[in-house]
Amino acid sequence: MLLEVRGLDAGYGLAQALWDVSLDVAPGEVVAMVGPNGAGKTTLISCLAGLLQPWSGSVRFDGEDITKAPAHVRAELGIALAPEGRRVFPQMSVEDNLLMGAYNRRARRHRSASLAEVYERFPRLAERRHQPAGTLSGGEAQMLAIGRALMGRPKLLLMDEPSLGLAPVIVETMFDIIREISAAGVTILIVEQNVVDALELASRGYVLEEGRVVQAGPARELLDDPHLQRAYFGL
Amino acid sequence: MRSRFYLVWAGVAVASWFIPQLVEALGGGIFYLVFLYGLLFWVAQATSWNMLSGFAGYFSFGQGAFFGAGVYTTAVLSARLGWPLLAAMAAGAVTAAAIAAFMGVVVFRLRILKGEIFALVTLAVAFVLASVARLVKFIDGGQGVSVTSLRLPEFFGDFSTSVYRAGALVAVLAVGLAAWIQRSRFGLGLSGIRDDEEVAEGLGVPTFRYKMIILTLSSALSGLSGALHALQIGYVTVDDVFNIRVPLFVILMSILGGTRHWMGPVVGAAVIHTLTDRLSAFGAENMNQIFLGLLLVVVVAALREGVYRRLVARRWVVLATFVATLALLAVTGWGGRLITQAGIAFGMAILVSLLPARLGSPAPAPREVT
Repeated sequence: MLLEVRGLDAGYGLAQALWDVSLDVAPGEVVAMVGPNGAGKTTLISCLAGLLQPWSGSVRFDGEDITKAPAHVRAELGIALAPEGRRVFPQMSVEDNLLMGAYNRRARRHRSASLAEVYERFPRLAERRHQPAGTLSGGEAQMLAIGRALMGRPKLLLMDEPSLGLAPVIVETMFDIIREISAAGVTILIVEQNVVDALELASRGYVLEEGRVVQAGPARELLDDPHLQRAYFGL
Repeated sequence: MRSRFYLVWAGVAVASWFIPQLVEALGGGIFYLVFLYGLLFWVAQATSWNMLSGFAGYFSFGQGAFFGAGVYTTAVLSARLGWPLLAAMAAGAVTAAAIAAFMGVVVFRLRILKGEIFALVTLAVAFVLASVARLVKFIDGGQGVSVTSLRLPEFFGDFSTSVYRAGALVAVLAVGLAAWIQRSRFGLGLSGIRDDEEVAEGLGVPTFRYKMIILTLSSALSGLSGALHALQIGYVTVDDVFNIRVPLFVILMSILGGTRHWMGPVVGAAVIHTLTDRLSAFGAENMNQIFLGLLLVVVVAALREGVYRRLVARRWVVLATFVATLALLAVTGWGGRLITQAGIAFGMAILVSLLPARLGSPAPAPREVT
């Protein structure tokens, strides 16, 4: 397993947001963690990226225990985060944003090659490379957040709600892009509220509700599951 | 590339060493050296503030604390304990850095202390230091400390020359360091911390370590500059050292010049120091605050990126305005002393750079990372 999470409890202050969450991600896989707003998806992503210290439980990456490792160490090990929405560096240029993605030592060596690859994948970013990132549209900012994460040459790409706040047409483009990235060999854990699109993309899925994993299995099966259909697709 | 950078800054340091000779050759007096020292003092202080608050985005009201720690450490160690001046000055820089590092360990560990809270904590540190100085007899005890008998080493020249030269070295050190940081990987990481610290950490920036380094560097420079300033003011009192002037001025200067480029605080210090000095010279000291207030309002409202960006975007027009105004004043003799004339020409150049005409709009300059 590339990522093994066991019995994770986490929260903010005294408010617990995750209870006993376990999940696995195998190399080359796309795994979707779906659930409604407030289910604890972003809390989980923060724990995996190292931005939030879990109360208990363990996180193993590539055979190494990283439960206590700070975020910048995890970036070095090959975990990259594409945070939700417009969390780009607004005052920095598009290109500087991308260079920030290659901040860790391992990725830095391939910086120029990575930059060329990202510009090839996202020509819009190349056009706007000298523009402050704060002036980008929602879709462009999301592309930048993904491109920046790819600059880190990740073994595991964590994506937090890539469809959040985007127009439906752009959401479709976004999922196509994620499919391409996966086809290029990047392992992806995607956290999404957009249950159908996420599960159609993923090979396996987990359903998170009120901080607990309530269902898990192959994405196909989850899509056909009567409980999920009732809860999320209004069928 | 790297070696050229060091060469340029070494050249600036050497050139600034010979300014007193130039001033003398041109028939200028001590007045010019005092003016220049004041300018360089503010350049060092504003640059120091901007490293922490501009580059890393941690807005501080605590400049007075670090500056004051430098002033008082030097004054007490040299005047009361008879330390050699240079050792006392070094201790001033170290004390300021140690106080800052202690504050940083506490404040940066607790992630909630950001933004306004961080600014308030820094202000509180200044208050505490001022109270300690006022209460402890050994430090000040309300009496003040006299450092009038102290001198820099012989080869720095006579008193005014030596203070100017030491001030120039400190300023060159501060600005050179800021320029180096801005071009470095470290500087890129600081920009990330300023824009979105959590994301920067997630991308591999060791944020805690970086914040500690920049806070310590910034305060050490401020303390060093303060250590020298103890010499310049001669008689050190709590009210003069720990007042609102230093923290307020460095903020004004940096914001006026622009906080995202190392030249911003330099330009801001030049504008504000020249303006306040000239207003005082004409007996209009009371007008200072009015002018500064207006200036700040205009800058914050009209150009958030600061004056420096505008000067660069219109550099030829600005240069032409400066030269033309100065020539006109020199020929007609208006304005009196050369320094006033230069100040007026500088002011005109800045006004031209601020005109909202279509003389060329400033584009965001691409950053170079080496």
